[in-house]
Amino acid sequence: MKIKNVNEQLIKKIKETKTVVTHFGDDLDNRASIHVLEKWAKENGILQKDDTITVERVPAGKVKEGFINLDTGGHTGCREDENTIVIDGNPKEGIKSAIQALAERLKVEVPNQILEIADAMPTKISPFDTRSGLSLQKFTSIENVFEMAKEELLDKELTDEQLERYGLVEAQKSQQKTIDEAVEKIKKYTKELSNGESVVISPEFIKAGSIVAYEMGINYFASVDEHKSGQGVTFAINAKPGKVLPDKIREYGNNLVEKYKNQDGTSGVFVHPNKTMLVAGGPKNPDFKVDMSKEDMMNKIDELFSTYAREDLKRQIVEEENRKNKLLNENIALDEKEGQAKDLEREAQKLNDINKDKNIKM
Amino acid sequence: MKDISVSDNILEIKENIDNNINYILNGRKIDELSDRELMLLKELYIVINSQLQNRVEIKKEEILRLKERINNIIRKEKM
Repeated sequence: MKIKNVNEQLIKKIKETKTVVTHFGDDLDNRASIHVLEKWAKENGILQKDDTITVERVPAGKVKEGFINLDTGGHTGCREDENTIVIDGNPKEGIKSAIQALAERLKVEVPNQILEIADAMPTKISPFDTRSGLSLQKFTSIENVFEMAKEELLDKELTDEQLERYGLVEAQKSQQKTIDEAVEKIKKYTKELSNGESVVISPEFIKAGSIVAYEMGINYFASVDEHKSGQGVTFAINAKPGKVLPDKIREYGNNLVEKYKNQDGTSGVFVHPNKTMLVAGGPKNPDFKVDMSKEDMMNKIDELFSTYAREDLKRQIVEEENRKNKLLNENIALDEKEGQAKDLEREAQKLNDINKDKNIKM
Repeated sequence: MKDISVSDNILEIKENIDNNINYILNGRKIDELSDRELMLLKELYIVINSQLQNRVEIKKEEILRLKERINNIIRKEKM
């Protein structure tokens, strides 16, 4: 049998529903996952060539019972019962993305580049580099993205010929405009913190805002927006790659998660398990809002970062004080050694002089 | 602040450091300082520690030179 029994439930669900469920908003991970699943199903006769998979959306972290859920479910890996399948990344177990989990399960080949960077922004790609494959992938078909990945173009600048070949010339121009506008707004909303770090607290959505900010050396990015209903706010706070959000921010986020917990245990507030992101509402949870005014939320975020920075600065001062004491002790010890060495030198010179005199007399 | 890396008297160095730190603290605890004062205090510590580190390097080199001189004297003695 071509397909192992482990996928029996998956096959049944595909035939039954011809649907996958994923989060709002597309990224490389969910695009690649849907594409791979559909291709695998067609190649194995589970779907006909003319069939298309319907994509339904749920807020991030949520799961739709009775369906195949891809790249949603809270980044806690894959699970399955007789009714529902979840295929998702699990960073704690080394499964970086949904596409990695899916490729391993279906035993299909996926270009390495896609597996490496599906759910993470590689540090070697700069957002100022509007010609890179990854920054442009959302503007072209997923088939093209896979071709680009095979050529290992996702983390490289595309040439004029490649931009033309993948239909990305206009997209690149538009990206450049987006970056230029982001830089201007970021400069306006950046706050220098007392511990030497900096944060953007933006009262408006800035397209590509966080990745541009990090490229500018800013450590954290916060964006607050009025909810589409006109009441309440949504917000997102991120840390630069390599950093985590301060404890105070995560603590505030966890309190909000609890405050806005639904009966099914999910919440409109999400604190990423890797501690780099706190999101309330937004594209993946479009109906959710926090009951605060925009001004109050901005002030709250400002206060949280200011408090964190002050505590961090005090901690740095204590570290420097300890280092000062260590260096003072080292200086004292060296002074003593120097004194002893000088005494030895004097003694050695005295002996030498005495022996010189003896030799002369002899 | 006087450059302590060239000072030979460790007691003077300690006094110099304490005076500079106390100038910012002005009888207060760290918690009572403003953010600006905390930043100044941190900068001060960085300068102090940099000079103390310099002094360590200078002293280490001086001790090596002294040891070299002692060895030379002993060599001459054996000749």
